[in-house]
Amino acid sequence: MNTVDTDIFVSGGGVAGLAAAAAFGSLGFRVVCADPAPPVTDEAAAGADLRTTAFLQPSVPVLEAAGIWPRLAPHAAPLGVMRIVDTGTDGMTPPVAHDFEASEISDQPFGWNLPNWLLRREMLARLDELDTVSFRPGVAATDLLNRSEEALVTLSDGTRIRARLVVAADGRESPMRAAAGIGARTIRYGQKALAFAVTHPIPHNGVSTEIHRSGGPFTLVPLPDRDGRPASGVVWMERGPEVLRLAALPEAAFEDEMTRRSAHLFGPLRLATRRSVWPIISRLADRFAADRVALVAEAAHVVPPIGAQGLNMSLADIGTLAGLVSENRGDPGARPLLERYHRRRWPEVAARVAGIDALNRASMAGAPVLGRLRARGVGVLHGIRPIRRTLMHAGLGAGRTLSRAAR
Amino acid sequence: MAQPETVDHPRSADPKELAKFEAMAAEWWDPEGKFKPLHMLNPCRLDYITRQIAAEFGRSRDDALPFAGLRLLDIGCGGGLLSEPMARLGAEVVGADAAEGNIPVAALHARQSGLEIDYRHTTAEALAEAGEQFDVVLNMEVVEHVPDPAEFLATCARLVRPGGIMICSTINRTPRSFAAAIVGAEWVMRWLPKGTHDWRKFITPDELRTMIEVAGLRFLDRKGFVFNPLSWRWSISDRDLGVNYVTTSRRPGAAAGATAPLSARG
Repeated sequence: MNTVDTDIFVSGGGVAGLAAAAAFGSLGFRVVCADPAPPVTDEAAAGADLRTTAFLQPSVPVLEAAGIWPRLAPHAAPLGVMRIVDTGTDGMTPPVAHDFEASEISDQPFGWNLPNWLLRREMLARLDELDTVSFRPGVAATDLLNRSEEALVTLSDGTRIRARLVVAADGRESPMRAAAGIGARTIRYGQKALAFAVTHPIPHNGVSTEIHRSGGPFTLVPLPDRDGRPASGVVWMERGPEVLRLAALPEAAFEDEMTRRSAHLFGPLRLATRRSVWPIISRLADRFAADRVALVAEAAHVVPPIGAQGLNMSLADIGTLAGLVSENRGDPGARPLLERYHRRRWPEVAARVAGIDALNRASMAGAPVLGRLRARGVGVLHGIRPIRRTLMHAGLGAGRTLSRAAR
Repeated sequence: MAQPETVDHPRSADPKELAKFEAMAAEWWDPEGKFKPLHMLNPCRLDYITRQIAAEFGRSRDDALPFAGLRLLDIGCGGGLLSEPMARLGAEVVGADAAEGNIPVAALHARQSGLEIDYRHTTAEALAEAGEQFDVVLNMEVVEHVPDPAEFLATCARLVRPGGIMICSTINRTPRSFAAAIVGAEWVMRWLPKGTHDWRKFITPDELRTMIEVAGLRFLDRKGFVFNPLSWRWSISDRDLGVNYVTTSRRPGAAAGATAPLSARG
C-alpha cells in the first residue's frame, strides 16, 4: 500500500475545500486535497454550480492570505446596497422597501459577488501555483481513523494518507464528520431553493435585493452584464412541491412567474441559465473538532441562503483555523489548538444559525421580515443610523450575530 | 481448581494475582458471570482493536478474513474473549496467559468453536526470550495487574515486529476510577470479587505514554472507554479517559506498506 505523509489533508474540493487547501498551502504546510467529483469550471457543463457567492468584507482578508483574491477581484461585482422588500401576501399591498447602504459604515462595498463555477476555476489555478498542495480530483476519502497523534485516511485509489490534521470540508453529509463520531442536529423546513441567473432591462446598480413573501425569500444578487444586458444571480426559496412545479415549467411560463414574484422591480426577467434545485435545511455539528479533525463549512454548519451567511461563515472557519495553525507550526493538529478552534467558532456559528433560522421561519410564514425585525426591538430601524449600522455589521459578520442584532 | 504452579518468570506473574484468576477461570465464558464487565465491554474493545489493525495494515473490515497473514499475540488472553474473534477474522493467534488454569478453559472453548488458536501457558518475558515477534500485540487489561508495568511494557515492545503495533488498555488512577472500578464493580455490583483491582496500581494515560515511549514505541492514539449507566452500554470517547482507556503504539521500522514521500504534484 502506498502511504503519503502530509501535514494537512483537506477532504472536499468545493469552494470551501479549495479555499482551505490554498490557505494552508500558502502558509507553507504540505497539503493533500481530494474530492470524489472533478470540479466543474465551465458554466455550460451539466454539473456546474450555478449559485453565486457574495463575499462579505471580512472574507476578503482570508482570501487574500490564501493568494486567491487577486485572481477573483477582476470578476467580482461589488455589492453597495442591500435592499429588503416586503410584499403583501394578498398581492394588493404595495411592496415596502428599505435600503441599507454600505457607505454608511465603510468606504468599501458590503461585499463582492461571484459565480461559484468561476470561483472554482480561479481557486484551482491558485492551487496549481502552490508546490505545497497536491490536489486529487476524482478521488474519494473512503475511510478515516483519527488517532490522537495522527490521522489515517484511505482514498478510493488505494492511497493511504497519514496526516497531522484532517480538515473536513466534505459537505453537509460529511463522511469525515461521521467517521470522527461527531453528531449533528438538523432542522428541516420542507423548503427547496431554485438557483439560476437572469437578465433584466432595469439595471441593478450593484444592489442586492431580497424580496420576502410567504414561502420564502426571492433574492437577486448583482452579476456582471451578460450580452450587454444587466444580469443577476437568483435564489428563489419556496415550499418543496412548489419548487418542483416551478422547475418543471416551460421557460416562458417560468419567466412570467418569476417576474411576478420579483414584484416587477427589474422589469421582465429572462432566464439565462439552467434551473438547479437545492434542499433547504439548517444543520449544526455538535462539535467542530475531534482528535486530529477540524470541521469547516457545511460539514460544520448549513443555513438557508439568507443574508449571504453560509460561505462567509465557512471562510471565517478557515481564517480562524489558519490563524491558529500558523501560530503552532510544529503540530497543526494538536489537541489544544483544535479545542481553541471549537471554542472560538462554535458559539458564534450557533448564534448565527439560530438567527437565520428565525428569519427564515418569519419569511416562510409570510410575516413581514422588516416588521419582525421591528418587533424584535429594531422598531426605529428606519432612519436611525446606529441601529442600522448594528444590523449591517451583523450581516457582515463583523463580530455581532444576527440574532443579537435583531433582538 | 488447580493451584498455580511455580512460574519461571515472576516479574510479570505475581503469584497472588495468578491465584485470583485461576479461581475464576471456569467462569470466563459466562456473560452473566464474574467477567460480565469484560463481556459488556467486549464489543467496544473489538471495534477499537479491529479499526486500528485494519487502518494500520490497510485491510478492509468488510472482507471475510481481513486479518489473514497477520500474526497476533493476545497477552493475558484469559478465557480467549479476544483471541477467538481475532482468529475468526483470519489472524494467526497466539494466546498467552501466565495463569495455567486459563489455558485449558480457553483451548477447550476454541475447539468447541472450531477455531485454531495457539494457546500457551507462558509469560511475555519467556516469549521475548525465545525471540518471538508479532504484527499485533494485544495487551488488554493486563498492565494494572503486573508488579513492574514499565519493565513489562518494555518486554511487550520487544514482541512487536518493526512496523507492527501494540494495543494496550488499562484503568486510569482518578477518584472516578476508584468509584467505578473498586466501589462500583467490586463492592456494589459484585461483578468482580473484592480485591480484583488495587487502585494504587492504576496508571494515568500520561504515565502509560511515557512508559511506552521509553520502551521504544511511537505513541499513536489514546481513547476512553466510557460506560453509560443509563443506556448500560460502553462507547469510545476522544475526551473522557477518566476511567477505562486504550492506547495504540507502533514499533518504528519497516512499515507493512512502502512509504512514499509526498510528491509536489499529485
